[in-house]
Amino acid sequence: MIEKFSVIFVIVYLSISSALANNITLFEESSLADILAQRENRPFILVIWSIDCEPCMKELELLSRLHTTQIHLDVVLISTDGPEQLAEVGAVLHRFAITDLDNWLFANSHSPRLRYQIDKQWYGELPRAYFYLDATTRLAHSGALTYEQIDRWGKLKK
Amino acid sequence: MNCLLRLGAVVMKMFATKCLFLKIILLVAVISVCWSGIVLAVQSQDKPSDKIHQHGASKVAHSLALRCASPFAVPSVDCAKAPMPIFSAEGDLWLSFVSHGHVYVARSENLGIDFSVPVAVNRVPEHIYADKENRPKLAFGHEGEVYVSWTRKRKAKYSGEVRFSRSLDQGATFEASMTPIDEGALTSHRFDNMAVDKQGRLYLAWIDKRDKAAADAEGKEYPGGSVYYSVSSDSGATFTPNIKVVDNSCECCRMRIASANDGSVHALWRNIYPGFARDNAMAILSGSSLAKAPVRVSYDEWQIDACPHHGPDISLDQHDRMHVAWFNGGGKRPGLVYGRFDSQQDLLEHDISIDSSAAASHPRVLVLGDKVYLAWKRFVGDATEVRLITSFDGGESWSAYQAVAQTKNESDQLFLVSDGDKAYLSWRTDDEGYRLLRLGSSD
Repeated sequence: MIEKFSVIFVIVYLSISSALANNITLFEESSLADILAQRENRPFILVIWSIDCEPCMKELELLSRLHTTQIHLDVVLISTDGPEQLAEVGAVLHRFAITDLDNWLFANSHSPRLRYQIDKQWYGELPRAYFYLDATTRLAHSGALTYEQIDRWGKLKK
Repeated sequence: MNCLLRLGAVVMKMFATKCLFLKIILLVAVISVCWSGIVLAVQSQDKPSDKIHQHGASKVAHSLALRCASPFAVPSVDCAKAPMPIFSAEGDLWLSFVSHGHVYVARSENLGIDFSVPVAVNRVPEHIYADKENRPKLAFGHEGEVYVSWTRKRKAKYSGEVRFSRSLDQGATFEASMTPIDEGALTSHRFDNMAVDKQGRLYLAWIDKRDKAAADAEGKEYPGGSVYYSVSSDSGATFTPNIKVVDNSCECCRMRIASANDGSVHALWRNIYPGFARDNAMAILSGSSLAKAPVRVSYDEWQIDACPHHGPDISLDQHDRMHVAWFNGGGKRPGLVYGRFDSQQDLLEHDISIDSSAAASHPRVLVLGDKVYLAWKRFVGDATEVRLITSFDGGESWSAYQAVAQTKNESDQLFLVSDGDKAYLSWRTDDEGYRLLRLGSSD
């Protein structure tokens, strides 16, 4: 009996941890270049968030709604929490059903080095978003995004 | 080699057993041995050698990071998560820190060179906030009591529970942890802070979510959280009912309280003003009443519906003037700012922008007589340095900055502490571990 429970526990644990791990990539110093290269000048929204940022949840909720209704929206999510918070980050992504977005996690928690790779002018406040029109043109925004902002950007990129 | 092969064969046979528990135990043991082997291998390369002096530092750093990352690392100051320093009246340096679900306390009698064996405060492991803004704190009573507060994470998001314990035997043992919150259904209480006033009363303050939860239940808007506190007049045995200081404080920035010469306790926090302007506010606490209702300290008008994760710092001088350092992400003066607040006249004086770069963060201020030390972190491209400016006239004029410490990799927040006579920088970095540096020794 104990052995059966142990098997179930191990299988469940491994499947959860691998599922979480598989959908989230570690964000390192060269990762922004990778993200841009993958998109080949196509527009997208880069959203930076953290599990301890309450306004970020409002934003994730909005993105979750848009994700189900506007599947053409290309959103990249970067959590500034470190790998030690992988499970909590994964749980939030599951809660908002956005695990299939392009999800990244800072290789070092709230690292200024990684923050600098994204934007030397960003003070680290969260949430932070960048509306990319192409690989070299972007508009930065601090604070929770609204539907109107995303809609405006959608019209701008057309 | 033959011996190793035989050992390998024995391990493989044990893996073939039907008992899953034995397999798991064996797996853990193998991982443990492998990890120890890696650590030992790296450490053995780090042994001092005249020939590898130039690379010694980076190897020590690598070794420390590896040792601290091990799930089998014993609690130590060098591997401490969120260490928080304080000097006792006897001049000993004490640190609280987190390791494996416990708050630990360690003491150094020689300015951080050696530390006592860390003592666990909470007996049962807890999920403890140990990040840059939210970490366990220490305070001392007038009869040698050692007080510890921390925040336990709760299952709901952004939800914590303030915890408290005390030691009545100079930190040798700690009493069972308790929650000094009088709210029946716990909502959230985080960013705990302690101060002991001139009469020996212990103040415990925090950012509270009960009013936001009540507003949410009624469908009303309630930006941020609120500031609450409790007082203990019996050395932490019991606390008063929780007392509200203000509504609409920033919900994700640490607050600070500090004991004043006139017997009161000054509180400083980031508040939310109309238009989501996140400026600083202060109040004066006296026992269970407010000697001064909240007033606005700064008018920088950084308007944002976001988490700055960047609370203000405070140090009181002999005239009980508040020397304050804070951060703005925008508004009238982005970056780091210093000001001296006279709470008799509600006047912010000598306020200056310290460093407006986005690479500057987390300013700390410390007053010692007429001297004011102001330090902050500045990322300089390939390293992070601690910059220090000093005022010799109570914050009216300042020296040029001096880089007093540097690290190549990740680092914790810095702290300025004093033994009542000298000023020190307390800083834990991933590469160098914990360090305490004397400031202004050449003055």
